[in-house]
Amino acid sequence: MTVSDKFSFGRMMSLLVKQVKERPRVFLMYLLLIFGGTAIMGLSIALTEYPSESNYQYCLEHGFTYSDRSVYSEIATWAFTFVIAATVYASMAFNRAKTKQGRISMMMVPALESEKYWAAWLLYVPVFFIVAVVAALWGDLVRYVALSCYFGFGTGMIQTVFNVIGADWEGFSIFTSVIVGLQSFYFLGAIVWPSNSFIKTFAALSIIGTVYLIAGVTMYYFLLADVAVTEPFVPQQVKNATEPWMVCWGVNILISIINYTLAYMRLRETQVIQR
Amino acid sequence: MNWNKLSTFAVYYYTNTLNMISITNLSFRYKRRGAMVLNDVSLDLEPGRVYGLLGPNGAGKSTLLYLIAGILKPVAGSVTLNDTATSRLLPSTLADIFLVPEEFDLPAISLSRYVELNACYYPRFSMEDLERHLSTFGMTSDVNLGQLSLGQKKKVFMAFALACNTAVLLMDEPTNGLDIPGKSAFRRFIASNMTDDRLVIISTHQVKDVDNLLDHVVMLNSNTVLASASTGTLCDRFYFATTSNPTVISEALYATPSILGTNVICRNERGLDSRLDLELLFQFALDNPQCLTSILNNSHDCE
Repeated sequence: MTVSDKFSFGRMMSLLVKQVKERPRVFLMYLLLIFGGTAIMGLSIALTEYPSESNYQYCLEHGFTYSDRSVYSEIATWAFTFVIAATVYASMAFNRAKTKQGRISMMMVPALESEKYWAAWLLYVPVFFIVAVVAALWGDLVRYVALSCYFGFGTGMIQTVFNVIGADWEGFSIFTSVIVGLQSFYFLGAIVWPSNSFIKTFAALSIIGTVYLIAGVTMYYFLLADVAVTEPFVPQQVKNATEPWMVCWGVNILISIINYTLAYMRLRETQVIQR
Repeated sequence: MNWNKLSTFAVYYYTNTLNMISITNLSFRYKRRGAMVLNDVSLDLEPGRVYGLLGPNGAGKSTLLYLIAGILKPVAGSVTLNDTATSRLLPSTLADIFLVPEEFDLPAISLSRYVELNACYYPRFSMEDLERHLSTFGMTSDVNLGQLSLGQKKKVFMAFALACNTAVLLMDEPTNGLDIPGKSAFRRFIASNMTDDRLVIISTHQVKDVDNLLDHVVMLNSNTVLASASTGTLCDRFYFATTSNPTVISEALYATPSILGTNVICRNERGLDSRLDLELLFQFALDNPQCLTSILNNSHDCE
């Protein structure tokens, strides 16, 4: 039986399964962390905010329009959780390569580098993100059920995160596109710095961001104040765009393609000892 | 044209080039402007043999193994297995090479799960062979890798490596971490599983652990190959003895005192049989490399 040197989808999928089954506890912990974190945060936010003036009964009695404020706080928690989860887990994509032994095991598996790359990408970028969303939705469901048990079902008092996202899908879309872009930076960081990659990528992005900010402010005040930009960092075209979510998706997809291409090229250059 | 002769030659050529590793003018350094770890190394390694890669610490033994495996890329030269550069890391090449590094990490899962996840990449893997190899080490297949000691992990990993039935088996310091019965089992394990199409390269500085196993010795020092010779050739050229005869000691190429007398290496001009003492030969090679090389090359420079 010969081993094919062409890209094999089956081999890529078996690499993906191998990653999960060799460290099942890590993945289970991830699921529980997101689920438990969002459920506990959701419950604590709700329980601290419901007794305040946003109380459903209070609004009914005084003729105010009711809005479930806790759900907005939870959306902020969600946003924070997703940014952290997406970036931390994208940083873990090549965690195994942080030791010499791990790198040897990774490199000696008889599979193409492209198969190893796509197996890691699939698992740590889209699959993890989908798992995070599902776990957070379950967390929100726990909050919804627990509060409904407490305040009563069918009153319309308890809202789910879906209600709010549905009302502002454009904001949600822009946020998702930012996460897609951020993930690509952290995925690239994972292959450039296999050990402590989250911190190193964060530091690198902070430095790049600071340089961009300084350059932007300098450009604005000294060169382009009356030419093309209205604010230091947002180009006129973006500011005037009728569909800002499309612009955000365009920019973030472009950034992602560049970052993922660089990550693949870096993986191909990987050796047992980083030079 | 004599077709019989031609076909015999073709079969001979095929069997002698299959699974052969060719190292050609190989040079390597870790840092771009650093010193060369290996400089212009050339070797042909043939199947059906156990090669011993010997050398002092830092001589480049592990580096050479990594270069053969393809997980380091040479600065110059090439390593090929069946005419394919191993540094391309093609699945077909990797499925024919198994590297047992000095230190490795195994996931904390059961061996059966490990086999299920990893054996699929090696088309010639055999579960029966794995169980047989494990029994050589006094182990069974119903173990959890997370609960094993370092030595036990090494035994399991070596058994798995051999059960993959790859053409090339690379082992870096395989006896490190093994207990005394384990070292003895390791020798049995390699000797009883050698086949004509398998090439085993063992890198070690513990020569006593492997001296009966080796068919061929490659000595590395100062970034290059000091000597490469079959154990038969070494025994033909050198005579190893322990003696207290002052004449023999004074005429020896190399002598070192021991409890039983003085261990000596002499030129084997009379074709006497002696047991290869790799440790002594290795010390001699480090002490007087020019002399060793000249005797192996049949010249008389060191007299």
